[in-house]
Parts: sequence; C-alpha cells; structure tokens
Amino acid sequence: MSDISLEIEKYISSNKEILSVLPVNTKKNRSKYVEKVSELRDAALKIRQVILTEIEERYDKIVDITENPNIARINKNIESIGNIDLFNELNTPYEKLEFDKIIHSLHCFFEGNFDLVNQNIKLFIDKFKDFGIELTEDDFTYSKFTNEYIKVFFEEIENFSSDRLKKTFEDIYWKCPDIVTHIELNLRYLYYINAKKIEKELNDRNDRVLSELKLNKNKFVQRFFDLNKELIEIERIDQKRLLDKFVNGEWKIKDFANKEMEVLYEKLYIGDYFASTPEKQEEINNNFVSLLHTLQEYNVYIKYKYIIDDLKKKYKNKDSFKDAYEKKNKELRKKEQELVKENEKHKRNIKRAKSLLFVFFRRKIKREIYAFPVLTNEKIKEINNLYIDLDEEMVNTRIAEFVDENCSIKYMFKIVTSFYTYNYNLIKEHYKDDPDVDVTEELQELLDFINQPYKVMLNNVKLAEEPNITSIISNRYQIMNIRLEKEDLEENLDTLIQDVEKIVNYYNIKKSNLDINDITFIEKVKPMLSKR
Amino acid sequence: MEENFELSKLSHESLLNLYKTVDEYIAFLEKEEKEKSTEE
Repeated sequence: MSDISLEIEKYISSNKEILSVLPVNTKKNRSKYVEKVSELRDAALKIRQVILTEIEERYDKIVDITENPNIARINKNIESIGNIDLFNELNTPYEKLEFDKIIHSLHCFFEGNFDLVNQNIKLFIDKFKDFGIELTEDDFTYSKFTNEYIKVFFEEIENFSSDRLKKTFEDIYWKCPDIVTHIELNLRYLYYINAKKIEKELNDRNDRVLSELKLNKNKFVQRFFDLNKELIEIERIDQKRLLDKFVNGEWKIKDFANKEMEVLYEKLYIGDYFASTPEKQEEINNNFVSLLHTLQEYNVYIKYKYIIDDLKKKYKNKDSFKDAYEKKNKELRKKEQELVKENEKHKRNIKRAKSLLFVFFRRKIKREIYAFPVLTNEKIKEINNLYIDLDEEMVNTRIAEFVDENCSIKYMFKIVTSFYTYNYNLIKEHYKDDPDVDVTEELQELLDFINQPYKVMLNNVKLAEEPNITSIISNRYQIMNIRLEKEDLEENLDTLIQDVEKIVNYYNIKKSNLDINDITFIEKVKPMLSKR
Repeated sequence: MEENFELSKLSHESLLNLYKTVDEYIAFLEKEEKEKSTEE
C-alpha cells in the first residue's frame, strides 16, 4: 500500500479511536460527540473532494485523446478523388450523374410528396445548368399542363411552399392526374436531346481529373479503394474510436478478459494461441481479420442473393436481348416525335382559332383543340410504358454485354447497383410483404458494400462456382488452422460473425496499445461521475 | 490532515480504493451524527 493510502487509513482509524473513547452518556456529552463527528466529517468531505478531483482529472485525461490525424488526412484524399461512380463503365452519363434517381423519384410520386417533386425538378434543372444548359419554360412543352405548371414553377423557384405553386399544381392535377408523369417524361426527353453534349462534357471533366492525378482510369479506381483500405486499417486500431466503445458502454472490458478469449480461441483455432510466439499470434489474428471480411461478404451475399438469382434468370435469356434496346428506343423516339408534332399542331390550332383567316374551319379546329388533351395523354401513357421497357432493356443489354460464367459475384452486384430503378424495384418486390423494410436503406447498404474495399471473396468467386461457395470459404480457412465447417456458414452464421468479431476487436485493442488499466478505470468511474 | 496530499503516484486501483475508504468513513460519520443527535 502506498504512503498516502496508509496515511489516510491511519488517520481514519485514529479518528475512530478518538470517537470511541468520547463519553456519550449524557445529553451534553452526546452534543459534544456530535460536534466532533461533524468536524471530522467536514474534514473527510474535503479529503474526498481532493480524491474525486484527481479521479476526474485522470478520467478527462484518458478520455480526451484525439483521433489519429491520419484519419482526417486520408478522408481528405478520398474526398479529393471525388465520385468514382462517374467512371463506371456500365453506365451512361444518365446514371453516372444520377438523372435516373431523379426520374425514379418522380416516377414514384405517389410514395413521396409535392415538395419532393419540386426538389427533383430543381435538381434536374441545376444539373443541366452545371453542364452549361440553361433550361427555361419553353423547354417544357411535352404537354400543355407541363408547360402551365413549369411557368409558375420558374416564377416560384425560390419558394416551393408558396400557395400559388401549390394551387397551380392542385388545379392542374384535377384536370390531368398524370401531370407528374408528363413532367418526368419531359425531363427524360430533355436529357435525350442533350445527351451528347452532357456526355462530351462529362468525358472532358473525367479526363481532366485523371490528368490532374496523373492516373489512368483503372489506377484511379484502385487508388480510391487503396485509400479506403488504409482508412479502415487506421480506424480499426484508433485509440479514440476503441475507447469510445467502452465509454459509451457498447463494449465491456471483462468480455475481453484472457479467460474469455482463451475459450473463444480454443473454439475457433486449432492450436494453442496463447502459447504461440507474438509473431505467430499476429499471423493468427490477421487470418481472423481476413475471415471476418469474408464472413461479412458472405453475409451480404446471402442477404441479397435474390438479386443475383434475378440476374441469372435474365442471363439465361441473354440471346433474346440482342437489338431489343435499339428496337425499343426507335419505337419510343418515333412516338416522341409524333407527340412533338402534335404539340406544334395544337399551338397552331390555338392561333388559327383566333384568326379570321380560318373562320370556316373554326368548328373543326375547336373540336381538335377540345380533343387534344385526351389524345396526348393517351400518347404520353404509351411513351411512359416504352420508357419503362427501355430501362429494362438497358439492364438486359448490359447483362448480355458483361455477364458470362466467368463473371464474379461482386461484378454481378455491381451491375445491379449501377441501375437504380432496377435495383430499387428488385428490393421492393422482395420485401413486398414487409412494409417496415426501408427500400432506400437496403439499397444504400448494398451500394456501401460495393464501394468498400474488402471484397476479396466475391471478387474471386465466379458465377459458375456459386453453388460451392460455402465449401470454398471453409476450405480456405481450414488451411489456416481455423475451425470452420460449411455448416457453420449455413446454420450459425450470426454466432460465427459475433465470435470472430470479438477476436478481431481483442486484437485491435491490443494493437492500439490502449492501457487496459485505463479502460477498467473509465468503466468504474463513469457511473460514479455521471451521478454527480 | 493536510488536503494537498500527493495522489498522482497512486495507481488507478489504489486511488479508487482510497476513495471508497474515505466514502465509507464519511458514511460512518454521518450515521454516527444522525444516531447520536436523535438519542434522548
């Protein structure tokens, strides 16, 4: 025991002794006794405060560690690389610049709201502006209702909650419930007629990015994944991040006690981990880190297997996809041209109806003007269906072009995530009986997975090998003396991931050089300090 | 007892034990004070 601890213990016991000999037989004596006790208590409170201040200072010092500055540096480097999706070989600028997301959101108008419609139109207009194309109300002539609404939209562009805009939408909506579809298709048409200009500008921009970084496209993408890998490696042993887990109660240090870990290593490792040399322990732990990545990959794979199955189904019919896109596109453009011509004729009819020159045809012209909205609406519905088919044919074309038996599972996922509407619809269909599932969140999870750098297993397992995936994984890790049966993957995946995660966390804590005594201290002190 | 005693050399565990000891001592004193003040 240290000097000060001994000193205080002596001080307490001598005070207790003093108290024990004080007389308490009369009221007066008891009063004196209480006076002494009170005096001793005040002194003790001061001592306790001094100790508490020391505890607080230590707590603050331990908790007040800063994140590894390399994390901010790498994040900055990743940011400077920008968006690698702009280089996706599977996509046209329509998907790369996320016009498909805007159009999808408008297409699902019934799921969103009026505000979202306006935000999406503005987003589309802003993207065009960014590419040097200034859209005006004159570009929105797909139907008379589109033009009516967009006129007010441009006037109220700074205030989407304006009553005037809401009223205009409502008035038009009752005359034309398909108004949002009309706007959506008008935007698609605008993209189509400006596609070449946008594509050229995007290619120029991408070339500039690559030339500034002095990289080719493949090296550029590789750099993005390398930086992300470096970031993950640093983050996983960052003292602040690890300590925060204990501070916020997510982890308990007793769960990483040697006894607990011995049981776990024995369960998953063939050999005595604790009797191994530090170098061997490092090797064993690195194998567990690798296994954890594989298990996480496998977990995503089984969660989204229905997507791969759908792609495979499509892939079987790949011969039928030949020319389908072009045919559909031709049909669609023909219909759109007809619509443009009819719109022009309608404009002329309105002028003629007012002109004296056409007085003898006025009745016929007025009949045509009257019938025009219904006729165009029918045509727009046909065009809408053609666009839906065209989107599907685009995915089919890519499948025919890029999928074969040697295609990796990861690449199959990449194909799906490259086409927002297709991906969204697949997830939505899969969870049609489960309304609590957020389709956008599910979609984002898959996208995040595709953009994370550890996809070793899915990058290598080919479509043809898919049926044997559990055997491939278990064989791979059995060689490394890890106890892993294919049944573990098929039946106990959650427990297996939990166990391996714990070993990896234990390894990370050790590697971070965090002081176990500090962590124990934090855990004990935190409830004490939070009570104050 | 001086209040500017040196605690920085104590280990975390000893510091917490010391806090516990003093805390229990205070509880003892408070109990004594309460009991003896109410005794008739």
